[in-house]
Amino acid sequence: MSETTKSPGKVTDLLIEYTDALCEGTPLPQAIEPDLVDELKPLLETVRFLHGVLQKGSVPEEFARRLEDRLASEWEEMPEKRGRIRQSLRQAFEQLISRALSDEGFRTQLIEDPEKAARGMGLALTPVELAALRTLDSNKLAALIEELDERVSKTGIAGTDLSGLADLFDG
Amino acid sequence: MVKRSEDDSVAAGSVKSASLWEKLGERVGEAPGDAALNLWEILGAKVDFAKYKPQRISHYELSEGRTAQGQVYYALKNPEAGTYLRLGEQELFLWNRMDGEHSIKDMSIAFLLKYGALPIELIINMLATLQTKSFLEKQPANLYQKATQTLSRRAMQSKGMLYLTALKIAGFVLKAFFWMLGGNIVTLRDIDRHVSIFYRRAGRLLFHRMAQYAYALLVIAGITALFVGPLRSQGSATMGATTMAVIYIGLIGTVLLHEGAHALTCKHYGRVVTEAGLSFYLGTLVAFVDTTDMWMEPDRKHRMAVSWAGPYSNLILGAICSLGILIAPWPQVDVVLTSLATVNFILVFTNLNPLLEWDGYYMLMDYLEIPCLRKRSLAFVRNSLWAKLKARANFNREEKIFTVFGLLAGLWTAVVVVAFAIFLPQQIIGWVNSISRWVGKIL
Repeated sequence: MSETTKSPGKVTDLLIEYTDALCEGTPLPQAIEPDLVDELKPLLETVRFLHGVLQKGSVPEEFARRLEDRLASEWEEMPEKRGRIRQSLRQAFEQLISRALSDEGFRTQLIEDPEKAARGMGLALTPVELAALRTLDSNKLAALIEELDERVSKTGIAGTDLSGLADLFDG
Repeated sequence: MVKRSEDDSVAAGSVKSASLWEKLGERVGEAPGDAALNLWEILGAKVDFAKYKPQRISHYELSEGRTAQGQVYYALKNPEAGTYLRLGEQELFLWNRMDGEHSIKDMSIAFLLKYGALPIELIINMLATLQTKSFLEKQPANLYQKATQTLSRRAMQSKGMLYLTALKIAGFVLKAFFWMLGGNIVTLRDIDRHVSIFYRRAGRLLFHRMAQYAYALLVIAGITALFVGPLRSQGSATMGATTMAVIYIGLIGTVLLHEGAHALTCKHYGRVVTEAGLSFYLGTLVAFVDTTDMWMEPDRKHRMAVSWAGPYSNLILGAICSLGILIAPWPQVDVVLTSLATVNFILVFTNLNPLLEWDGYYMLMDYLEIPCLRKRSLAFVRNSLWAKLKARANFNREEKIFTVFGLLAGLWTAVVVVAFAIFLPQQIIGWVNSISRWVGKIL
């Protein structure tokens, strides 16, 4: 399904380790040596994705910097790698989201049991993708869109009833 | 589908509409299997929410603000429709993608990748609000609602003219009643141009620091005079036509000053005075100024200043009248000044009442940073309060505010509306008598 499924070597292990650390709140692995140049791009993409999805811990600056530096030099030379993991994730999510957009029951199921929902659609997601999906139920969105009142200042004219005032001084 | 086209052709009796279907038929026949002419496919794409590509309006204004708690928000304005919305950061993310190019599916995935949450409910609610407030280019027609309206209208017509007439009269009476609760009588839409000119030429001097000190001194002196000044008996004063006319002019001046203060302060902060005029509010005839554009002003103190400007102008004018009473040379002048001082001080308090949509309400809303406070509080009391009380659930800050404000505002509004309905006939008689007396005195 994805890059990590095809090459279940160190990258997948690292991602699972990283995901587990984020999910469990344990210290993040600091000493990752990114020697798997060919597979680093999907790794970075996934790390970024996980960072956005999980939101339970921050990517260690040192780790992110080393990945960034290493990948910056490789990125332009490997256009075919660009977006492969993003593409695979995108395809899986596209299918899930398309269904979720039109099927409220499926939407609930996706949030409650993403693995079952994905399996039901015949999608074989990687552990990382599933880990990402599992976090969806903890991401409650607070709708912040608000209508704004009309601000209309008013001064009562009838309230300053002139006949009443005249009565005050008639006597 | 075919039957509908035939019916339409017959009903319309038009060669043009008949030929449209014929032409479509020919074109479909000419290119079988062509995706562009596959009507079912096109229809499928149109009704597929995931493929819907919302397009925001091209001309809009956006301003960034921050609440006292540091939360960033964005005020969105449609200058043509005169509508406003407040967005959070996540809604802004979606708004920026509503360019007619990104489908709901694209937006959902982009959102998921950035925020790690499925925004489906968020998008649905947001699109509904954007449509209601005219922030989307293509307003989808609500065909089902239109069909229901047409059917109910036909059903009504079939019940006979008498029934229809009775309903029309009842509708007119109800419409008049609701108009007197909040309908406009005169609306000046070009008011901003005049306010801008006046502000540039003279009005801005009113906001000079020295002017502010002068107002403060006047208010202190005026209120002091009110309490320590000599009491005068008004019994000997007669109410001639001239005195009444002066009071009337003074009252009109009071109203103009109050509304002018709002308008000029709005202009002082660089925003637009949308409109002004005369209207009804809960059965009371009112002069109004629309300063809704102040929502684009990020500083809530500035928004509160615009709302405060009206009552403050009454306070200043009331203070000036109080001081004038001390030196009034004739009883008639005394009467005029006492009347105006009384009215102005009353206006300060009535306008600061937050339970109806007077100036105090807008100030409270800005202070609490809860837009639509009244609407949301009443909705909370109506829909959620009893359930929460029953479940002995905890109330958060907003819910506590909604409960207290909603109950008080609801009660106060009910009292005012009921009083309006009960006393409306008496009020009308009073107006007629008043006019008769006026005419009599003038003649």
